Amino acid sequence: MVRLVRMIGDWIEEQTGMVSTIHEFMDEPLPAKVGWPHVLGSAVAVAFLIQLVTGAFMMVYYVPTPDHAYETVEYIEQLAFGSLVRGLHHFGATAMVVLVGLHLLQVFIWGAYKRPRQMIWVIGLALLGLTFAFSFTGYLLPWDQKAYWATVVGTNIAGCIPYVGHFLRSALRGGEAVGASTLTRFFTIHVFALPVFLELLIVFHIYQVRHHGLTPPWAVGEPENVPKPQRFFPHQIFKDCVVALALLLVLLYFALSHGAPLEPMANPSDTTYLPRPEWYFLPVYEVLKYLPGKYGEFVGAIVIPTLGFLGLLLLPYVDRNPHRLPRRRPLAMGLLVLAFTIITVFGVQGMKSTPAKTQLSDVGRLGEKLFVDLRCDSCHPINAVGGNVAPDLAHAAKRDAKTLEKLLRQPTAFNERTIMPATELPPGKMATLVKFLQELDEHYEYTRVPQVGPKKPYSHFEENWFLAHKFEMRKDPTYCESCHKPAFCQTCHRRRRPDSHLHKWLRYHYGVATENPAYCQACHEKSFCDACHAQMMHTEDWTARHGAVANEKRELCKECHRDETCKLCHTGARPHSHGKGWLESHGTGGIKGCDTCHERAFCQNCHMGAKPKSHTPDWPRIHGGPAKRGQQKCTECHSTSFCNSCHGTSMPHPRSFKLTKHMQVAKRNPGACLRCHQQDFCTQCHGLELPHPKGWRAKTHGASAKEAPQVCGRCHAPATCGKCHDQDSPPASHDADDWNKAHGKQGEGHEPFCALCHGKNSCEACHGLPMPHPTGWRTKPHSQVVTKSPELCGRCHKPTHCAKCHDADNPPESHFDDKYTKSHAAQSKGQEALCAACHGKTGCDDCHKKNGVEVSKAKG
Amino acid sequence: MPDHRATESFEDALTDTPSRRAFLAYASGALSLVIGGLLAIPLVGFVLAPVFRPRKSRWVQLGHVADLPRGIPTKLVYSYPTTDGWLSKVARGTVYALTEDGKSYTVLSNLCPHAGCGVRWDEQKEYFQCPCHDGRFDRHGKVTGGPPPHGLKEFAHKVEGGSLLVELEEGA
Repeated sequence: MVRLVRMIGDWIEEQTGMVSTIHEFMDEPLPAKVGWPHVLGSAVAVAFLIQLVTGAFMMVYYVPTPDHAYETVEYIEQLAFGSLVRGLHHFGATAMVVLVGLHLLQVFIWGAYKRPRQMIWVIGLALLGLTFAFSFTGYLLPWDQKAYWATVVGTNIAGCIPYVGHFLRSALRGGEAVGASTLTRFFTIHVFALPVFLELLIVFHIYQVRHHGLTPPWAVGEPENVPKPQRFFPHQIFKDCVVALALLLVLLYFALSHGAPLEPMANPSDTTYLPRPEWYFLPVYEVLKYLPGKYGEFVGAIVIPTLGFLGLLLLPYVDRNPHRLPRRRPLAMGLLVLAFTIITVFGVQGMKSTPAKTQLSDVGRLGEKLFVDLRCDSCHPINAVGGNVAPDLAHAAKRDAKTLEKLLRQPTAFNERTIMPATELPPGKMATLVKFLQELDEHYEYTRVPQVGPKKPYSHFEENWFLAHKFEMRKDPTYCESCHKPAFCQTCHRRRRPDSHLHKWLRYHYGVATENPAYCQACHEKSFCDACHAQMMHTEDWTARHGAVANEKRELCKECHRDETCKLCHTGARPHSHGKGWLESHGTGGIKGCDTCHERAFCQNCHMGAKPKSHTPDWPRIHGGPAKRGQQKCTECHSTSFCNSCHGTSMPHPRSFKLTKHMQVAKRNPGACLRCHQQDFCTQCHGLELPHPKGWRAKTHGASAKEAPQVCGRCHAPATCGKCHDQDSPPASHDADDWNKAHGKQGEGHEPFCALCHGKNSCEACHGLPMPHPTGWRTKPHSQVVTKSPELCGRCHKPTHCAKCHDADNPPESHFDDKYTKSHAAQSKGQEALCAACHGKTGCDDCHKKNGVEVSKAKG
Repeated sequence: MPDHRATESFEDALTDTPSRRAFLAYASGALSLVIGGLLAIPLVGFVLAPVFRPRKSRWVQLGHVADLPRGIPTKLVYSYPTTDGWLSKVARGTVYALTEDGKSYTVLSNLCPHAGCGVRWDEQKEYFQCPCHDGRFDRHGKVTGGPPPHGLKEFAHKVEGGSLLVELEEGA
């Protein structure tokens, strides 16, 4: 293996002579005490190398135009290893500046700038200047807010130089403003011009170091060129490698843990943005604050740094002190300490004075998340980051919480024409969102969630897109189509129609639609027009075709046409429908629409006698159903009396017909009911056959009347019976022989019925006492009646009736009287039968004989 | 040729042992390798990342199925927003859709598999004609003449809500 390498090495040496050159370089003997402090130079070189390769690889994807710079940086960020490469580049830039500073410091302290090495120092300063130039030009390339505005400030500083400032600024910017020309020239300077110069100068710098040899140590007596048994390779190289690896690891750490920052995309119209300078410009930034006035900026930012630079530049030529030992160079060391202190103090002050970003509370952070999730930023900017359609929310804190919540829940309450959707949230979430809004101020930085996927065209980021889009859309409606479906327009326009659609749009839209149908299709699907126009399209054949549509959808015509429009043509002229076969078919579907041209009476011209098709021969039989269901509107031809003339009663039945009116009709003309209703239809309500069957009056009604008189009562007033039944013609039942006896039983429960003829108290009138016996008759009152007029009882009751209750143990009450033995004679006169009921026929005799009392014989 | 390797010239004056030098040399080499690797791996991965991006496919709407005539391959032009690397653009293309019965469809690419020219359906002659090298395909995309090695590419498709959709590869 080693033999092979040797062979290749020999071949290369033979061809190029490179191997010996490299060996010479590597074998350089090192002076004494050269070691770790001297790695700084090569550390700078390694840092530059890292910048070179990371930058070169990023160039594969980066595009230096304002419309693509930011999105290509975002693209790099989301590629595999992309954020790592970019992070290395970002932190590598800081590292390079730091290491250059440290290298300068080391060279200064070691006094390695002194004669004869002045030129190396000068070239080193040039390299320092180039490093700052790298920083400044590279800063602009991401084209985010910080990049843009820092460049505006930086070029403005160049512009404050008297006389040449304006020209210088325009030259740097490539125009008046920082824009596309600035970006492209900064890019070219950064990736081509500066690297070329830097590499050339580095080579020259290192060559010069080798030429003069590494500075010997500052020993007492300062012996020159004491050879040390150490060579550049591998001793110094090893140290360099260690430091290089350490550097790389540190950079990797920062790149992985923090990542290069990326602010929102540059917004040239946002004047509220506060650019903060990079840390190495902070001292200047702070100094400027103390230098007001017309030339303050010039002095602070140009004059003082230039003087400093000049001082450093002239240092090796001014400093004639041959000593390199720090102890022997009090002035130099003193100046160093002074400069360092001033720069540090101003730097720290500068750092403190830059306003900090607004920190949100925990609740505010939750609200921020809601804000992002709900995509409020698509319309609302916060400090100019976000959409450009709605007001900037940085001032949201001006409103109190209640107003904010109301605004969110009901935006139309504040502005009728707003396109802001109402935000419905549960109270807890709403409170966090409101809290977030109230914590916003001008120092809040909204971090946009980077989009993955197709981005908006650059036109959509322009300031006036919200207003301008409607002009773009009118010019070419299909422009929107390539990205947006019609429904997209509806997200805003559902809540707010385009301004054109506000006044009489239905009437006038046809002009726009005929000129440019694509205009409608930008928002509406094709079927939207069809909803009206499927039938209503006034195409060439509309005159022929409109009749059918007009017949059915008269109200659609009225959207545009007044009624007279029809008459313009149709006076005298027949509609298309009145062609062949019209006479046959004209009635189907009713007579809606005939009245546009014809008077009502027009139909009668023919229809006196002429019937519609439906009126077939058996129409009288079957017309009931259709008439009831409304299939055939009888009233279209016939007046209401027409039905009555056949039906004998009003058709259809009026409201109260069931309850009362039908009785009269039914009576007057029972056959009228039977025309439609079956015979038993009446029975269902009436409970008996109606009308009364034959022989009802003569014979059969009696039985029904007897059984259920209330059924008669449904129709007949009580006096009705009296119409036929009187003294001479009592009811049949009264003809029975035993009616006198039997009527009692039959009358039971039907007293009102008897009363119909006999009157209310007719029983009493006949019976001489209330009939029927009132309640409690048996117990008490009857005894009085019996005592007074026992013959009344005898009318109904046989004498034996008394014995049912009265016996030896329970005689009638009258017998309790003390004087009954005496008074009974008078009482029993003529009532012997009654006595006999208990006492037997011979009862009187038995008693009287016994007691020797004479019985006075009663009459009969 | 003189030996330019430096070891001989100072060996006698050295107090340093060869083993220490060798260790440092190898250590330097090793460190350099590590540094190189730490830089090379991310950088090479970074530059090759788009090559290994997974191929995504998406469903693209072509048009209403009601508008398609039966039995004739119908040219349908589609467009959808997409990204070309970092660039947002609108991808456009053409496919031909054929249906006999309104239920099953064939969606063919219009790119000739021979050299990528766009084919065209000829109404009169009733075949797809490629203008570049006279390749011909029948209504179903099968080769009927000319140099194409195989037929027109067929796409996966579906009908949803009255619209015909086709599955296209992003970037294709």
